[in-house]
Amino acid sequence: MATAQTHTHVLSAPTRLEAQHQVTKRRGIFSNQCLFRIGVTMTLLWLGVALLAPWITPYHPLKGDAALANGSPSFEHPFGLDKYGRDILSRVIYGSRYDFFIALTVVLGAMATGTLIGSISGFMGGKLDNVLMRLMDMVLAFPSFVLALVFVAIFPPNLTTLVVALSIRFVPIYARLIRGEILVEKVKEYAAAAQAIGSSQWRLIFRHLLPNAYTPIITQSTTNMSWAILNAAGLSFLGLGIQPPMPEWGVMISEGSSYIVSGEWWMSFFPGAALILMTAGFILVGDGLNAQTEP
Amino acid sequence: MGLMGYIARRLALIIPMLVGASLIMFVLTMLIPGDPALMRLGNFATAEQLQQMREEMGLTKPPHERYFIYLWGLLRGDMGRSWRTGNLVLDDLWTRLPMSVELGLCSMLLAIAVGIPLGVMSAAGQDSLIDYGGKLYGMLGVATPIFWFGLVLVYVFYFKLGMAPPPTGRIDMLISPPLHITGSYLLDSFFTGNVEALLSSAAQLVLPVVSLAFIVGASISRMTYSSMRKVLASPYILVGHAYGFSQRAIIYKFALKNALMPVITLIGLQIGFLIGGVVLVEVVFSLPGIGRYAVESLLVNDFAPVQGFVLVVLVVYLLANLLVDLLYNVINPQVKNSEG
Repeated sequence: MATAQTHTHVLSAPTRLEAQHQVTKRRGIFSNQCLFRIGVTMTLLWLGVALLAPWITPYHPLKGDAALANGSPSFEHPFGLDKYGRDILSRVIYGSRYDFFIALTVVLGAMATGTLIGSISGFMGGKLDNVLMRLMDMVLAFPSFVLALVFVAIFPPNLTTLVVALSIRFVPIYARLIRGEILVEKVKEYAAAAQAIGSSQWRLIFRHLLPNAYTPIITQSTTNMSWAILNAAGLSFLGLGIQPPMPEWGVMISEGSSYIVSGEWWMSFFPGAALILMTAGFILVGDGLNAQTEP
Repeated sequence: MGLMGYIARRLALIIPMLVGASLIMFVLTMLIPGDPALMRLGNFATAEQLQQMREEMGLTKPPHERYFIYLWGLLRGDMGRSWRTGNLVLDDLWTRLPMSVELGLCSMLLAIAVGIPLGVMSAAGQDSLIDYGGKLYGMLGVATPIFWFGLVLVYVFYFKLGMAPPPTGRIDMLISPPLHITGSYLLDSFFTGNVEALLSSAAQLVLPVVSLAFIVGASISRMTYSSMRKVLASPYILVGHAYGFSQRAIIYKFALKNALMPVITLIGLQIGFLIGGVVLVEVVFSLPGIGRYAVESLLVNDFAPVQGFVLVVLVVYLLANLLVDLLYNVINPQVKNSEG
């Protein structure tokens, strides 16, 4: 099937774009277009759930009924109850706020810092460029989870620490991307023209160079958000991120983990399933964007 | 400049990395609020005792001097002492490292064994059932938190089916560990012919390895798939078809070799991810590896083990990456070593 497509596109010598289209074209639910739409829908749904959490939760996420502790899923409590008798559905709904927020701030924070470092490095060049880029190489050379671990080890375990710890590993990625784009863009005519009419250097960077460099950045970011969510939950699971009693998904999985061996599966299962659904949404969006921009 | 020269240069590059890492960690530990002397002596220490302890620990010296003392200690293999276990950090890490390496290595091998064939078959038979299955697995696998998947496996295979042993450590509590040779229970019990220990330690390792390999294998199959798709779309494959080679020959003889090149590089990138996964899986299954050691120390602010852990992990990570690059060079003679 694929080979037939390959034949036609080489024989009729289509443009590069057409060739790419033919190679990646799929039908039905597994077409890139369709997967991308599913991803966007999932992400928007989570956004809605996160925003509307106080109105759609049936119970309070932190107040439990001790008499109902460890209750299995029922009609009143579809996701069951945890060891303090708190409704897991309500906690899962509230948990979406933490993880969505963390993913967003981690990526935006890294993007801002990386953009700043990358544009300075790319625009100024010379010694400063060298020092900054070696520093970025150093960060990249660390295994990412260990980097975050070291950071949360030292600073008090709270939301800010977690966000900063997770964003550090992305800073070099954005810095390199932006620097590369700036190096390409700054020698083009429009950059020279802007300089000729007396634009300041910062204006040149932010008004003229950066807007042209943003396509690869957006594509990177959605994939990075899925990493951020998984690792935020991972660190919280280890007790190094968000702390109980907050209804963060990693914390909830950790709280339920000791009940798995006695068969009370629902405490850990539902937050994990929610985590998968949110992460998968970001991954699908990232894949879709990638397929559209990749040559 | 042969392969040996290349290896030597790469090994030499590890040293500045380690010095840099030790410096960063030293600076960060200085930022920790709290008095290390107070932590060691406890709240009931008198002011004199504290002062004496501070002098003993070298806390009264200027920072740069303390760093060089720390670095000099590292060079002699002195990573300090963990006040939680009371042992030297190096000894603690040394007894736990074989378990972590065992876990990481087995998982990576299984992930490769599953991920690459799945990616290839998925790319070769587009729109077939295996293609859909492979895509679905690739998508769900990379979206799944490892620690959660481990718990699900425990629930299904231990609680429901009773097939797996409980997640309580490296070997059944009633079976004595094998004679210490390498530190790896699998190898040691194999060498000493201790069948009971071999079976038990292998059984304890199955679920942790499967949970890690499931996630890493998903990434590998995704990468293999996209790399294979790219190769299959290139003109030389078309020429192969024009010459009348069978689909099988084209995929396995012509396309696969080229498609695997980028996959090897990407597997190298997965090593960092694998290390994080090892830490989480060790905690889920209560395995006595270096990851759980670091996390447990971290939770009680025992920082010397964490510093030691980071350095050891960094060495393992850089060596593993060097190994991957060497493998790449061996498979692809086009790559000149000097460019690596």
